[in-house]
Amino acid sequence: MNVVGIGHLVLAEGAAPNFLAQMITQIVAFLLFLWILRRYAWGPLTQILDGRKQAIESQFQKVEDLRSEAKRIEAEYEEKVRDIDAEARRHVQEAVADGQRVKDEIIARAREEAEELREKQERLLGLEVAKARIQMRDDIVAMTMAATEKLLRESVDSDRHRRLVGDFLAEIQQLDRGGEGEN
Amino acid sequence: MALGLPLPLMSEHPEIPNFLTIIEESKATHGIAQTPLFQLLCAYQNEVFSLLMVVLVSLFVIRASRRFSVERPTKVQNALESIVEGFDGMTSGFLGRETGRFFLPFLGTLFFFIWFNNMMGMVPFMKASTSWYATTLGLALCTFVVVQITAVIKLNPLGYLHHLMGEPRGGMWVLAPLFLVLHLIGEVAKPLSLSLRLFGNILGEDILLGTFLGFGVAISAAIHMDLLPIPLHLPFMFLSLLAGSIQAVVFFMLSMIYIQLVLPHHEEEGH
Repeated sequence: MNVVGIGHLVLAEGAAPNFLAQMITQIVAFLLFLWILRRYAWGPLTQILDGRKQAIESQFQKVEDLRSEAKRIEAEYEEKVRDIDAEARRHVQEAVADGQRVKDEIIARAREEAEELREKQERLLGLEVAKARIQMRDDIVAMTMAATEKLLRESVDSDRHRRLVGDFLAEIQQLDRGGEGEN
Repeated sequence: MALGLPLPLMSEHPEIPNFLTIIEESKATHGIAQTPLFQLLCAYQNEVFSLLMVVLVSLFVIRASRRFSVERPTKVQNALESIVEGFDGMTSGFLGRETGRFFLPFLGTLFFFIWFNNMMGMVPFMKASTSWYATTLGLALCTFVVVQITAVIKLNPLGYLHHLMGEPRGGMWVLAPLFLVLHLIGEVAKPLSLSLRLFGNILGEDILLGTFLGFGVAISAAIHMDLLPIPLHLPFMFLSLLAGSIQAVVFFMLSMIYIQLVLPHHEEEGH
């Protein structure tokens, strides 16, 4: 099949090679290729892939951990907010109670003071009344004495005078007792 | 022909010229072609191209591996990682996580050895060594040995023998010798089918490409266009690209299946 140019179809001829030797050479070539690829490609690349996979899984785990941590913190925060609300309510209630107590105390104190004032005024009034009565009695006695002197001057005898004065004093004492009983 | 294999397994066949055959045929390099070393290289040209592929790919991988980084991967590393991840997914999905990861280097390397060798046939002045039966048989024997060792380790020798006898129970022991013979034939047939399938496909592609390249050149010469040959073989290069890839995948998948067939869990599932 002699054809010109590069199209010359070459017959695989020449010295007859040993088939077994060829096969062994190919096996050796394959084993050499296997060793090199295992050492420089399959091994390192699978390690890199595994490492990257582990890193990604680790990142996912971290994200998951962070998410659960965030949820925990959120729950904690909500719990704290609830506590704060409850505390605030409690404080408000306490303040209201304190205010109520203070109000009651003020009212009670005001009442006490008013009562004291009233009692004091009543005492003062009593004293004034007593003083006025004494004054009135003194005035009556003076007027009585003046009337008596006038009667005496109009010839009343001594017995009659005494009886009249005694009756008058008894009436005054009765009048005093009646005034004290009213108070 | 050392093993005395029948045609076409050991026969000479038309193929696209590679740089060794060009040197050998060229008058300008007649002196070089006559040296014993060159004669040896020509005699073992499939191994030469296979080793050349191993060296080139290994250099690329070793160079790329120096820049491997977890934090800042290069584009090459990203591509390699995608490839490794894909193969890891396939082997792990098929054989289980641990076993798949253990066989990943072997099965992955098997695929790339075959694929790169297949692709070498389409590179100008190169040759697909998988179009030579010694290559495919050698690879199939590697798979065979791995499968047998795996079977002996995973099932233990007696368990494997029991498996080869069809796992007989009760009266089925009578048929055990028959099953043993059948299974032994099946085990031998596996590497044969693997190697013959790959060899036949790639050889067929090479012959197809060589033939149509020859037609193109012949037609060009007939119309006095020696310096601008018609690339009649071009459509078949796409076919070769597809078929070469498919054959690599088939070899890879079948090797994985053969390994899976001898794994204990498969036995428990009632294989």
